[in-house]
Amino acid sequence: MQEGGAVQISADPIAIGAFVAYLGVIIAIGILSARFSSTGVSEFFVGGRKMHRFVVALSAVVSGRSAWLLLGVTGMAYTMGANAVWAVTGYITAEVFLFIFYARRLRHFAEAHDCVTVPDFYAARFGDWDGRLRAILIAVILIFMVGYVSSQFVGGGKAFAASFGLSPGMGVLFTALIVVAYTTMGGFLAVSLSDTLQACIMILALVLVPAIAIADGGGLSAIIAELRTIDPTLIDPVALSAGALIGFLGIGLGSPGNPHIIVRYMSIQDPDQLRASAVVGTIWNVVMAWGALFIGLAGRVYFPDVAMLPDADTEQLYPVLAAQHLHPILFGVVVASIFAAIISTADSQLLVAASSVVRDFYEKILHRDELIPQKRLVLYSRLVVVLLVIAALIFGLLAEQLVFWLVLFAWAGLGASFGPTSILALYWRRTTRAGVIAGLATGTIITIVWELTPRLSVLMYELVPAFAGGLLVTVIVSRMTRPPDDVDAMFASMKGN
Amino acid sequence: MPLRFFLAMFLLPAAIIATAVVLALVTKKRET
Repeated sequence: MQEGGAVQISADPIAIGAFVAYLGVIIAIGILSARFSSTGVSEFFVGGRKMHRFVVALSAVVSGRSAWLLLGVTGMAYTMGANAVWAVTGYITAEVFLFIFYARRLRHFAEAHDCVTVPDFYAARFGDWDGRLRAILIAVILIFMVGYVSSQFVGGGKAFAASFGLSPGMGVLFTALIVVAYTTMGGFLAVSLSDTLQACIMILALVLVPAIAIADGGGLSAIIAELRTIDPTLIDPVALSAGALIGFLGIGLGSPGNPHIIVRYMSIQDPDQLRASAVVGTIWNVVMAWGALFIGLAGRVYFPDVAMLPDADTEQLYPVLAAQHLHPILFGVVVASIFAAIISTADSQLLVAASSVVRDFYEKILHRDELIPQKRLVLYSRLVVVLLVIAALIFGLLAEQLVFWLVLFAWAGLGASFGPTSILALYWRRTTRAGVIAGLATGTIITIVWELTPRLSVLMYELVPAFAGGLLVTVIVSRMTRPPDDVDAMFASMKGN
Repeated sequence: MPLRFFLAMFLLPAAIIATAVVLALVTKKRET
């Protein structure tokens, strides 16, 4: 099915038809959501806080899982075997606690203070009278998010091009065009509903592929026996160093710091329903992650030597294994799942970046104390989405190295800056604006320095020390400065009082 | 099937889902 790394589905017109139908449904969601999203910025950027619990659950889960889950985790399990289990355990466990505890407080506060964006939350919580804190948050979001979106377009474009025999540039343009079409029209509602559809496609593919590959290989016992023959450590989940284990589990520290995930929690209609979202989201997270792990394990049996994979690239395992074991129509679902993973992350990140330009910069800094018609703000939001896509495309096509450099730090950088500061803002009354600014800077700086220092980066994933550093500095500086006067009222509003 | 493999690949995911269910129920009960 594949030649020179390009996995072809173009041979089967039904598979192409199914894929085109899937894209048609996404565009239709954008068109149908357009009227609702045109009402105002709250509707365009946070769905008017009217999202259903299942939509919030699945949208929050898949927005955080890019192609890293489908291509990266499968490749990791191929290389490290059962040790890769820790790479998914950290973020899934973290998200259980976020859904049940953190998200409720944030959602209650967001409604009480009319917060549409994550910087809105910080500004309201810390009485950001001069907009300094908000400006720093906008800069952090834009730098990382545009790079993030850009990398998704490049990744999506390459997957798309490989599957349909297009040039990579055409694939990138096509991916961007699809995302811009439904995001511009339908805003947050379209993004959340399409994410829900993408979540269903992803889970279907991540259950089907390992199940069929394991069955074809003679069952799980036969796969385990083969893995033991290849390398006994592949079936031993604790054959890794303590630093690697802590680093893997530490991936979960990124979840409370990535605004495209956090904003999903703010969008639910009824905060009490976040418990149901927690259960549904966790089941989805677990099934998708362990599906990816089993793909990696089964794949190692079929391709014991990495040289057997196209370009000796472990990230090619998932489409290659699927092409080998599935009917062309089901293989079409697999290609759609890669595309779904990529665009469900890109659309959410794009909307967060656009909200920081229109809501945070234009409305709250540039035109503070002015009443701007909501329709005009929505129009500007749509224009900014288009402009950001163009910027992301230019980045992706002309400065690919810079994009990959930014993405290298994005999950950890955002996690180490927004993560500790948002948790303290929600749970510690003594947290101050100066403490948060210091924590944001510390988390970002440690992330970059740690990653760029080879002696440190081999010890542990940079997010763990950066998160700890950000937390510590926020606490120390907060202790030295004065907390907001109305902090008791703030905390009461987090409980819905 | 090796025990550690079974624990990591089957019991661990089940335990995470169970944690979510228990936390959801406990927090609901505490509020009512």
